[in-house]
Amino acid sequence: MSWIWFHKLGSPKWFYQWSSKWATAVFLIGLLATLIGVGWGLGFAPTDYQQGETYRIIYLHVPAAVLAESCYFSLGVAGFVYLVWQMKMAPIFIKSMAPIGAAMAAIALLSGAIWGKPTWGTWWVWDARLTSVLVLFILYMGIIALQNTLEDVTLANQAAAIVSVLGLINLPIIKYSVNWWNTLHQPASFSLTKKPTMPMDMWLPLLIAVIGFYCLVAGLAMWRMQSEILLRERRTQWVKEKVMNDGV
Amino acid sequence: MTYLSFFKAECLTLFRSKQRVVNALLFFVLVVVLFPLGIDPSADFLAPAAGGIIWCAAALSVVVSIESLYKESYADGTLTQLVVSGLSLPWLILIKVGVYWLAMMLPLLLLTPVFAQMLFLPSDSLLVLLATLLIGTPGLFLIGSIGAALTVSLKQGAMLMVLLILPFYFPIIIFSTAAIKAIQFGLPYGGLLALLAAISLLALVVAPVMTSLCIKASVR
Amino acid sequence: MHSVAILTISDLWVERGESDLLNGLSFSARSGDVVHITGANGAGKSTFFKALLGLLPILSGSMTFNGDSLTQQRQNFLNNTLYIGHSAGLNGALTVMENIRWYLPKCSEKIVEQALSELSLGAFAETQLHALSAGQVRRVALVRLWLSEQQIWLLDEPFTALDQGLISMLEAKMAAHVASGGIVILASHLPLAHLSYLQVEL
Repeated sequence: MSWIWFHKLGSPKWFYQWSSKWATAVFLIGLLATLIGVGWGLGFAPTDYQQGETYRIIYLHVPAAVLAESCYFSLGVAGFVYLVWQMKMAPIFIKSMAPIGAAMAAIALLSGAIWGKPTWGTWWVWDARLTSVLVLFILYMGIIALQNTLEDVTLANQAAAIVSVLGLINLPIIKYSVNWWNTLHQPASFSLTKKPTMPMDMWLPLLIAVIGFYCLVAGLAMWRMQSEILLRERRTQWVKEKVMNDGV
Repeated sequence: MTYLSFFKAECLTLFRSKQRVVNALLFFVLVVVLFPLGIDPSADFLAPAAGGIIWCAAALSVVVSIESLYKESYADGTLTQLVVSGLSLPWLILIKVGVYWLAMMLPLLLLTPVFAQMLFLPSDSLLVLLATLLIGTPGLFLIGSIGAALTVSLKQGAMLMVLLILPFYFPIIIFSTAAIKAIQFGLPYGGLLALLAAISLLALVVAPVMTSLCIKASVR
Repeated sequence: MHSVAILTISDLWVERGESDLLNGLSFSARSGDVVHITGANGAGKSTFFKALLGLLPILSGSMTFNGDSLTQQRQNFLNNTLYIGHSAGLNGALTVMENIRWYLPKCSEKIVEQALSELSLGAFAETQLHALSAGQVRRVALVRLWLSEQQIWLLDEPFTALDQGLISMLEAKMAAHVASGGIVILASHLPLAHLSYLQVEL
C-alpha cells in the first residue's frame, strides 16, 4: 500500500489540477442524482400510511441532515490531519467546507420545522436531535466567524483546525442523542448498515438523493477549494503561469 | 523558571488582581437575579428551575471571565517566555487554569447555598447541585481556556470567544441540570455525575494540549 | 582553544505572511562567540529568533545544536537558552523581586540584590512593575542576564531604551559571558563598540 496519494493530497498544485478534471463531472452527477432521487421521492414514491403526503419532505430533510453531519465529520478529520501533519490542504478544505456544512444544517433545520408543523403540530420541539443540529449550525458559524476574524493565516488555520477537532465530540452526541433522551423525534430513518424499515420503493429514491447530495457537496467543495488555492498560492510560479495563460 | 515558581507567581498575580474574580462573581449574581426579575419570582417556577438557573449563571460567568485569562501575559510578553522556558507548556497551562479555578470556584461554591435558598431549591437537591458544580466546572474552565487562547491576539475577541465556546458547554450543563432534576424526581443521579466527571477528565487530557497549540500559534 | 560549533544554522528560510525571509541565512557559533545580526527593519531579525525558538515553522534549511537537529531537541535547547525579546516579559502585577524569583527561584538573595544595585534598581526591589518607567522595566529584564545560568543568550534589540552607560555595562556583561564559554546572539542596528563579534547581515 503506497502513501503517495496522501502526500500528493497535501500539494495544492496537484489537488488543483486533479480537481479541475473532476469537479464539474462530480457536480453534474450529483445534480442528476439529486433530481432523480428528489423527483422520484416527491412525485412517484408511495404515500406513507401514517403521515400521508407530508412525509415526502424527507427527501430533502434527510439528505441535508446526513450531509450536515458528514461535513462536520470531514472538518474534524481535516482538523486532525492539520494538527498532526500540518498538511497545507487541510485548512483550505475546512475553510471551503464550513459554509457548505452550515447551509446543509440550515436546510435540515428549516425542512425539519416545516415537516414538524403538520406531523407534531409544532414548528419546533426542544428535542435533543433538533437541538444538536442547531448546535451543529452554531459550531459551523463559529468556525466561519473565527476564520473571518483572525487575520494571521497560520493562526486562523490552527484555530479552525482545533475547533473542528473539538466539535467532533459533538457528533456522537448528535448520533446517540435519540437514544439518550427518549423524545418525540422518530429514530434515524436512514442507515446503510441496518435493514431499511421503510419499503424499498420509498428507500431507494432516498438513497439516490443522499448520494446525489454527497456528490453535489463534493463538487461545490472542490470549486471553492480551487479558488481558495489560487488565492493562497498566488505568489507561486504555477499560479502566475496559469493566470497568465488562461485568465481568471 | 520552575513549575513551583510559576505556581507561586500565578497565585500572587491573581491575588493582586482579585477584582477580576470579584467581577466574575458579581456577574454570576446578576445573571441569577435576572431570572426571578425577568420571568417569575414565585416558588412554583423557581424551585424546579433553580439548578438550571445557577448552572447557566455559572457557565456564563466562567466563559466571560476566562476570556482574559491569557490577555495580560500576551501583552507583556510573559506568555512568550512561558513558551520558550523549556518547561512543558501544557503543564504550565494546567497550573494557570487550576489556580484560576480554585480562586473562582471556592467563593462560588460558598455563594451557591445562599442563592439556592433564595431560589427555593429543595435542600436535598443542594448537595447534588454542589457536587455537579464541583465535578463539572473544571470542564468549563479547561474548555474555556482553549477559547481564551484562540482569541488571545484579538482586541475585541470576547464575543467570538463566547460564540465558539458556549456550544461546548451544552453537554456539561445538560448533564448537571439532569442530575438535579433526577434527585427532585427521586431518580438515581450517580450515572449523570459519572458522565460529568468523564467530560471533565476528557477536557483535562485534551484542553491543555489544545491550549498550548493555540498559544504557540498566537505568540509568534 | 576553539571547540566545535555549538549552534549551526544553514540555508535557513522562513515564511512569514506575504514574504519569505532570511534568504538562506547560514552561520555557526562556537562557545565564546558573539553573533551580531544586522539588517533593515523587516529583514527578519525577530523572525530569526522566533524560528530558532520554535515559534515559527521553518520553510527550508537546518538548525543543529551540539551536532544534532535542533528541532528534535527543542526542549533541551530551550533549557540552555535565555531569550529577551522586544517586550520585557515581566509581569506587571508582581514586584521586581517577585518577577526575578519567578524566573530564578534558586538564586540567592544576596546575588540578586547585588545585581539589582549594579543596575541601580536597588531601591525598587519591592515595587510593582507597573509602577516603574519603561527604562526601568527594561533594566529589570536585563537583571536576568546578570543572573543567567544559560549558555546561549538570544537578545532581540537589547539596547532599546538604554542610556550610553548601560549600553557599555551590557556589552561588558556580554564579554564576560562569552569569556566564560557562553554564546551571545543579538540583533541590533547599533554597532558594538567594545566587543569583537561575528557579523551576519540579513
